[in-house]
Amino acid sequence: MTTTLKLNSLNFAFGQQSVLNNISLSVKTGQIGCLLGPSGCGKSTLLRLIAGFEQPQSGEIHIVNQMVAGTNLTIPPQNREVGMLFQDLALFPHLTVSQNIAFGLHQLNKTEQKHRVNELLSLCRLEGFQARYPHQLSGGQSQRVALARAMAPKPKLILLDEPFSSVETGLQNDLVHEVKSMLQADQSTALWVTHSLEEAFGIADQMGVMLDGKLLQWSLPNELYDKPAHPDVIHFLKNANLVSGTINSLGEIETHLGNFKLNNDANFKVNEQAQVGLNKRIFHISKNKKPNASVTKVVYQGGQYILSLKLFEGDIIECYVPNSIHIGSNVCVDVDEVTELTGFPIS
Amino acid sequence: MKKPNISANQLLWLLALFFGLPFIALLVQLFTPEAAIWQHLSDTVLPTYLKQSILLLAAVTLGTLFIGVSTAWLIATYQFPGHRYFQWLLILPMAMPSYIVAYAYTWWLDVSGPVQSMLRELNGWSFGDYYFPNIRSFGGAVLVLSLVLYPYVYLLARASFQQQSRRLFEAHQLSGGKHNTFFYRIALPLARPAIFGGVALVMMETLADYGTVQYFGVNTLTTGILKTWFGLSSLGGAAQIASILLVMVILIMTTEKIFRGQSQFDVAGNTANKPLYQPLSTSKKWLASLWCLMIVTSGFILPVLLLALMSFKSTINDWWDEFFLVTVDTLWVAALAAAVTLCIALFLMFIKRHNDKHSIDRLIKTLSLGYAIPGLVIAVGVTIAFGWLDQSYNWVKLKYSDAPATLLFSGGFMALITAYVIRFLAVAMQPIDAAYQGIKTNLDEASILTGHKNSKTFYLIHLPLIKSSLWTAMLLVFVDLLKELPATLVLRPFNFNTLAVKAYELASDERLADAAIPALSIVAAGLIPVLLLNQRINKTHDNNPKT
Repeated sequence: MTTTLKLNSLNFAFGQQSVLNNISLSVKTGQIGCLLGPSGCGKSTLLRLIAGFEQPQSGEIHIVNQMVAGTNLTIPPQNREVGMLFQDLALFPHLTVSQNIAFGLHQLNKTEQKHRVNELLSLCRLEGFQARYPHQLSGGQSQRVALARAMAPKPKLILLDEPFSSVETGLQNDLVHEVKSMLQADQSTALWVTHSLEEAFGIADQMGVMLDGKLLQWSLPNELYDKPAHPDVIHFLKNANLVSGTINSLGEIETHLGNFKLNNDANFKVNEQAQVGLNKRIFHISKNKKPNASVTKVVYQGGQYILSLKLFEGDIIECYVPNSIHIGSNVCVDVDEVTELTGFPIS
Repeated sequence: MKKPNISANQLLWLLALFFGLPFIALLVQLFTPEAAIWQHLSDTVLPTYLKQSILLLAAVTLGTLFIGVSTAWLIATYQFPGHRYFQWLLILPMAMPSYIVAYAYTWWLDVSGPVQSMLRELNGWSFGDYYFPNIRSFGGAVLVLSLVLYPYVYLLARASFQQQSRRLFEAHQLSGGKHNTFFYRIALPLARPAIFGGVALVMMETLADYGTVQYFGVNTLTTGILKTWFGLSSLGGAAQIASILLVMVILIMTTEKIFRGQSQFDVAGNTANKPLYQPLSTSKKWLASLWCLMIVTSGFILPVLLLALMSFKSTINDWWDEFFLVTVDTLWVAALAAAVTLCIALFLMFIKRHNDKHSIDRLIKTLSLGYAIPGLVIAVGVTIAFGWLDQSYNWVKLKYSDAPATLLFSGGFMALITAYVIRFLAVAMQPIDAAYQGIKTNLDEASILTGHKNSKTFYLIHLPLIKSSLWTAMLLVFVDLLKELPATLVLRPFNFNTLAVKAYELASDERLADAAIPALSIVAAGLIPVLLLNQRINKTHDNNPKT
């Protein structure tokens, strides 16, 4: 499988303010890469660098084996063959649906243009709407037109900048899968930026978490859960509890909830303080055992309760339970057996 | 998408140099005075010109402040009979060039006019038996200019009053403030920057006025420029006076800027809230109506009626053909100049869109300052500068041929159109700039990503989206050109007349009734943009904050 997009140690700053810090990643041809991060983490800026609207201070951008930005080299956006789905869609208000889609097809002759537009109208389920203007479309339809316009010239890469931020919450899930299947049907390669976990896991072949201009991890989606590379990834995904402890001579971390084998124990010295991420699902409350935590918060959430517990030894954890427990009561919390855990130094 | 376009930037600097040349010419004249003329001027007439200009400025400022703020406050705060109509009727005097209002009142109030004739007939008086104030006086000029220029203050003050949140009034009430102190203690101070902005415009218009003061025999700097230029045949002397005028304008602009910069209040509050009018007793309601009616009548309705009456007495039947020719001439010159202005404004706005250099932004802003400079000052500058250009052109030409010297630059319409562009560029830039800001840069980027160049993006995306604003800009400039008098008067080619110049000439020849016909045509055309403007202000401030 060839690589469509490759970023090498990109750095970017607005004046003194560093926005992107040493970003490297790659997206394989035909796949969808997804950058997950809160607003303001620099992910939209990264897309603008790849499109060519901003120049990196250092680092390289390669699109299909061609360097488009690097030391002393910049290829203008016009010549990068990159398509973009803008956050606010940026449909041309004075052009009809088919004129919008055909906008980037100036290299083709009239017949070819018409053929490609029809192809996209049917792929994006827009037949019958070709003569409408953007203001006559619903939110989802506008979305599909914007996608069709971005895909029309068959760009080497499509960039999607929070494409669903303007769509009502209820519709987002359906749209995510719809857009994914459209991109796949056209064999497009895409880099998708979002702050929504659901959206990201719904579409990504490759995925990363970005915080404060740093890409903390770039891997397969399930590895983000199973092998988080940084405690902040855990904080952001909110799927696990960070529990602290001490490394023993067996390469285990000894916590107040038990001892766990680490897959990176070589990185730690014996008796060093460390922490480990434990999936919230493996926690449960054991009755008739000596209490080790007190309940600080109970939140009901569709069929189950989310319990916040303060361990007597200090860590604060969350777990799911079927029945409510009074705030302030003392309970015993246990964890299931787990393997393949990664330890982190205490920052 | 920010991408410096080198050749376009160079063209921009060249344009700036060309349009800056008249001001360089004035500066050169200011620092190399023709000693004899300067001595003569400062010994004799200059102090009078300066004194009259400053007095006029002060009086008109007070007059417009009083009329503008009072009407704006009434409209923004109370509801009274005719409120809905006065809201926009009060703007209409803007459509009236002040010199035309001056002609109408003179015809009506002069010794031989209908009012005095009727008085004499009713009372059996003859001329000299009674006292009647002379409209052709300093006081008359103040009255006419105030009645025509107050809408600048009214518009800006009204917008500011209407934007002030009703919560402010409620807070004032809750803290024990009395109803009648709200205006002085809160509303007026908050509206001060806006009001001062309007006053600055009034001051510039007052300084620029030539038609009214000349007709009323008030010796201001503008009349001084023409007297020195054509009476004393001293262009240098005229340039000296023009420089003084220019310095005054710059002073006003700087003061306004400093003043506004220091006190930018965020008075917008919640703009979505509907105006809640305060109660007013019935008798006071009628007083409010009466005041507004008086202002609208004397600033617009009466002058228009008078012009209509005058036109019945005119001898137009004897010069229909000439009127027709003048109208055609006016229309094509105005259309040509408006088109040129529009193209330059569009070019500047295109550069602004694709530029992130501070210097270019500044330069474009500077080019838009011409609106503040009196037409006569520009005319003097252009005449001197184009004289230089012609001299150098002929000097070069002489080296290559024996052909006689020609006035390439100052001979034809080029000087006139250059002056028009300098004066009205800002009028064209404003709507285009607004339209451009309405187009998100995303659209440019979407177009560029598909491989289109900036120029192609302009043609495919910008042009269709700003088209209606281009028409607005064109119309606004066109109408301003129809009204323009002083620059046209001195820069027009020999034997070329516009409606404004024709009205001026007829009035100067004591043919006021005949002057009414070109005057009415100008007023009719002038109404269009005023109504457009009102529509836009209503949309943004009153009912519909979202558009």
